[in-house]
Amino acid sequence: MVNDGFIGFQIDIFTITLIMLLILFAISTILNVMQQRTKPVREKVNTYTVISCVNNDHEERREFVPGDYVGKVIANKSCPKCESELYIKTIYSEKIREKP
Amino acid sequence: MVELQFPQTPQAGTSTELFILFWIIINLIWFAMIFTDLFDRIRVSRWDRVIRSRLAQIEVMINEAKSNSEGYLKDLGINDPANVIRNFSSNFFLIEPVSIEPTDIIKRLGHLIRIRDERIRSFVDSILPSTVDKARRFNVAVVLEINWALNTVFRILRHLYLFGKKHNYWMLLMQLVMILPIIMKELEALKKAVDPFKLGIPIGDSAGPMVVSMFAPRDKRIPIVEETVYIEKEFEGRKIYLVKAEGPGGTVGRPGEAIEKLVESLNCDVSAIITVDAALKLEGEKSGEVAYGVGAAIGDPGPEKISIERTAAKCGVPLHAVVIKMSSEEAITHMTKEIYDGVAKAYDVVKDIITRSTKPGDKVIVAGIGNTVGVY
Repeated sequence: MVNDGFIGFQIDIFTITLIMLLILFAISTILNVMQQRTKPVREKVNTYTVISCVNNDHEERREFVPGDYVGKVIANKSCPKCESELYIKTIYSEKIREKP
Repeated sequence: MVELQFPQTPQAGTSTELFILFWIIINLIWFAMIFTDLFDRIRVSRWDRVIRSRLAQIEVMINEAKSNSEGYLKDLGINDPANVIRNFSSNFFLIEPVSIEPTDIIKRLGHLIRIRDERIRSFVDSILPSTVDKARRFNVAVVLEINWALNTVFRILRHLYLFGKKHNYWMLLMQLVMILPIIMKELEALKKAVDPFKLGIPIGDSAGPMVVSMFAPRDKRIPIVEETVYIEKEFEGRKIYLVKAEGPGGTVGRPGEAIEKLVESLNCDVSAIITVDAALKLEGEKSGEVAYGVGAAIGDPGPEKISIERTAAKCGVPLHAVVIKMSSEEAITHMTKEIYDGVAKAYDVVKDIITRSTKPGDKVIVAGIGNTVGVY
């Protein structure tokens, strides 16, 4: 064999196949483990209460307070525009996804 | 004697030995694949590992829901909430009526459901101090039912897993592996449902009662049947009867029975019955979309729905249905802004149906179906 200055080694097709099989096996094992360790996405829930005037001329949104329910009349507070009664028009939540 | 000849590569020696090894391994693999169940066993052991890990995750979920519920019950004055939840979760069941003989099955099912509801209410009454209001009592009942549902599903899954393992029932294990991710998603939603009931926050399923509440947010509610109320209201010259569960506690009431009683008391003089409910969306559909059609929009096991259908058919009253679409998770967790927007749209659709399909002076029943938690 003529040595043309290239330093290396030669492998045959069977060794390549064996190495390929081993690599594929390792990849599939890693993928399986990764799939099983997928962390669930955390979710933060912010709940808001929408307060409205009975005459529909004023609306405000605030954080939900335990005891709030839709249709509840707000005591000790009246509409800043017409001095009428205020009631809870709706309660809804916004979900914010947090990265694990 | 025949001598086995292996092809020689230019680098004979190590490569030839490797080739022999490779050849033996390949043949052993083929032999194992054809004549043994080695590969099936490897696969089953992988499924086994997956199921065990998923069941452990479900157990964590149950414990989280349980500790959350325990804190709530303790705040309400229950001394040993862990024991209360354990007793309720493990020792409560309903035996479905005989279905091989369908005569009066709905009546029998309705009867059993009522007994079950009464049993739950009396259990809740027995554990709670008398100072706790009715709305919270309803919420406690739902919180206990959530714990019961989580526990029951877990016990069934564990049974299937152990049964499959014990009897080498590989197909069962495979089915479990396939279905567990979906079940886990549903259970995760169920776990999250504890919070809104604990705090009295409307859930997605409260969409129907919320539409009714938009028509009459503060008007007086008149009890009609157990846990169900109605409100009389004038709208565009029509008299509308709004039916919903008694809020703001977590209950679905008995809207079917209420509609039947209301129509009877009006001597069938009703021009339209409109039911509004939350409906499960199909994958790809947007949450909060509103659809309308014909029929009774109600997702009960049967007795309430059939009651509405029979009443409408008996009196020849057109039955309209309006639904607000959402996922199964959204239906039992906090009501989102998208669903609330859907509620506002559904309110407009109901108003449109009333003005288009009836004339001034007519009587119309609008029933908001669903759990009325957080909605008066």
